[in-house]
Amino acid sequence: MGGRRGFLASVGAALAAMAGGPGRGWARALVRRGPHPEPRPGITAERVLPPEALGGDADLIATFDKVRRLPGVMDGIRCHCGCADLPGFYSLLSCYEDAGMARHCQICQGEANLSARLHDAGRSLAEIREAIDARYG
Amino acid sequence: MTDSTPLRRAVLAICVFTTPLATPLAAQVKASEPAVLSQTVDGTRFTIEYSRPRARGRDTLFGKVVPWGEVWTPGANMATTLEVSNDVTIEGRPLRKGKYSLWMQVQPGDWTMVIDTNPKLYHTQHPKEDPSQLRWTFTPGTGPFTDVLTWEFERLRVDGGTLVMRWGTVRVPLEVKVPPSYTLAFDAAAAAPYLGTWVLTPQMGDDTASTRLEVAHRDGMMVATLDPPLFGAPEYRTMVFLPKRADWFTPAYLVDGEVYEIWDEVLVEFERSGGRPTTMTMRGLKDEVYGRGRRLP
Repeated sequence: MGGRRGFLASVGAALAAMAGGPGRGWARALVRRGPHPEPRPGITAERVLPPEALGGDADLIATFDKVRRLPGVMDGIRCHCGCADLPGFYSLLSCYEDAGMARHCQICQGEANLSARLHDAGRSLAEIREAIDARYG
Repeated sequence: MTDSTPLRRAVLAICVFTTPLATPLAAQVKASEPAVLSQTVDGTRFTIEYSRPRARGRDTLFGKVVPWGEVWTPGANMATTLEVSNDVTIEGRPLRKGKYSLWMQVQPGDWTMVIDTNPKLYHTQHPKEDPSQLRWTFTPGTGPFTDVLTWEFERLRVDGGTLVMRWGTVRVPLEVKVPPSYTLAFDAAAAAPYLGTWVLTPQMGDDTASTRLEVAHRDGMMVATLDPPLFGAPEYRTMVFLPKRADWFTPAYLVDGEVYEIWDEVLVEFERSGGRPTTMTMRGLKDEVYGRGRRLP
């Protein structure tokens, strides 16, 4: 599906699946602001959901690979989609561990992709946090 | 003696198979059925909860069904409530975020609108005049006959709308305005590095036709004229860059000078070379690339 309908469908429908309703500003309605956590010393990606559990979705696999590659960065980022308020969730890294709820969340995926992109461009954790807050906060 | 076993079996079968059907449904018909109106305008939600009385052939509603002088809730049963999720204005008067009960004192001439801070009143608990209320006098309008009392937004604008109550031939319009969720303003000096001619090429779907952007500073905004407009749709001809952070913008579209749509989930990111923005990338919520642009010499 191309053109306007395809573009708007890719933005709107995905947000509908996440938020359950139409209208501009859905993502903003989901935002749960708060401080970024400090990366835990020695944190690894051992609990990140493996590629074979991602249903062959190439984009999703690529995102989870970025998280697997940069656990220390992801562990210093707060996820603004609301899962940070869930018991047992510490950081954006948590969204990719165990059941990997990030599989179903565009904000979790966006934060990971943006964090990795900025890290690879040489940005500090503080700069990445500021960008995450501007984009998703 | 006759053999009663087949009869007993039949009676037992009837009892077994009809017992589940014996539970009665709860009575649910109300003379004035409950209803909810919920409308969002630029992120501010208006919610009216009310019950809907019907005229039922009664041709004199006001002055008879609703006696003159009564402080009447425009509904029935529990008082009609209005909840607003942000500070707004109603008929030019400030109303703080919160939930209120709505009343109108009906008279042969002008009526008095009463917005009371107690949202949990029954329709017979007419609130006494109090400084905490919002009150004003108005002349009720008229319109086509409406059998069932109705609240609705007859008009919507980007900054508000017209909330209307109708019953019988009475029509009471209320102009509401909401605080804007965005700012269009962008300083001319800050916009200067981005001004010029750009070409943007979509990177998704089947649409690969490029669009030329003439980026200028106009009326205090950083504005781009798109040729052709995105998707070939005229409403996407004039883009305003809403500042987000350094080199980051949210795209919005103007039609006849008014905000038509804000793509809150889209990011326009400029990249610099030699300190000057030379390329731009349009990204989605997952940081995926929707389009790439470059400055033309």
